[in-house]
Amino acid sequence: MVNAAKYKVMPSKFKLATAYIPFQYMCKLYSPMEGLMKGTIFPELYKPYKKK
Amino acid sequence: MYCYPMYPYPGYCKPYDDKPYCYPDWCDYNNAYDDYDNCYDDYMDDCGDMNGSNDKIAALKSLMAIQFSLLELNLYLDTHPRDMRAIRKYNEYLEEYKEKKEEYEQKYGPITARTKSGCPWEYIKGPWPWDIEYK
Repeated sequence: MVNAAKYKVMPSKFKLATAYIPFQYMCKLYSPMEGLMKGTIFPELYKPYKKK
Repeated sequence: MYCYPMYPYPGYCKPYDDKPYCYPDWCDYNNAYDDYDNCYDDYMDDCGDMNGSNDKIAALKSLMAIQFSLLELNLYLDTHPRDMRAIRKYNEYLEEYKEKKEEYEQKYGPITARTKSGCPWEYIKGPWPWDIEYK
């Protein structure tokens, strides 16, 4: 039986079939104009699709 | 693009017209043209320069940028209500937004309808956001 918890993919306190989202802490910010162009002012959330 | 309504309606005044369109007979206001004198002040035709000057677009764009930053910090603070640094940043941007907005409205006219207006109603003066070509 394949059990993700068994293989220590994540620490065992995280339960199966439950979604987790890491908590964000504000660090640096983009300037307003840069943020407007990038779609977020948080650098850690800036994830553009790569051009092929 | 919206310029002027195509039909005359009671009280309607075209720029450079000497009298507003007449009220219906049953209306007492037919002799009350004096109230409308301020409508005849030379009114810039709002169909002229639809894209506005470069200065105006730059000002509008920086307003939009700061508004976006405010929205982002707003959403962040909804889930992080005790992040003092974020609150300080928010207040800082808000001050800047208010200043810039006031400056813009004095120079170029209202952004929202919640502003005092002269006659004719200034809010409908173009260009609307979708009429502008942003670069």
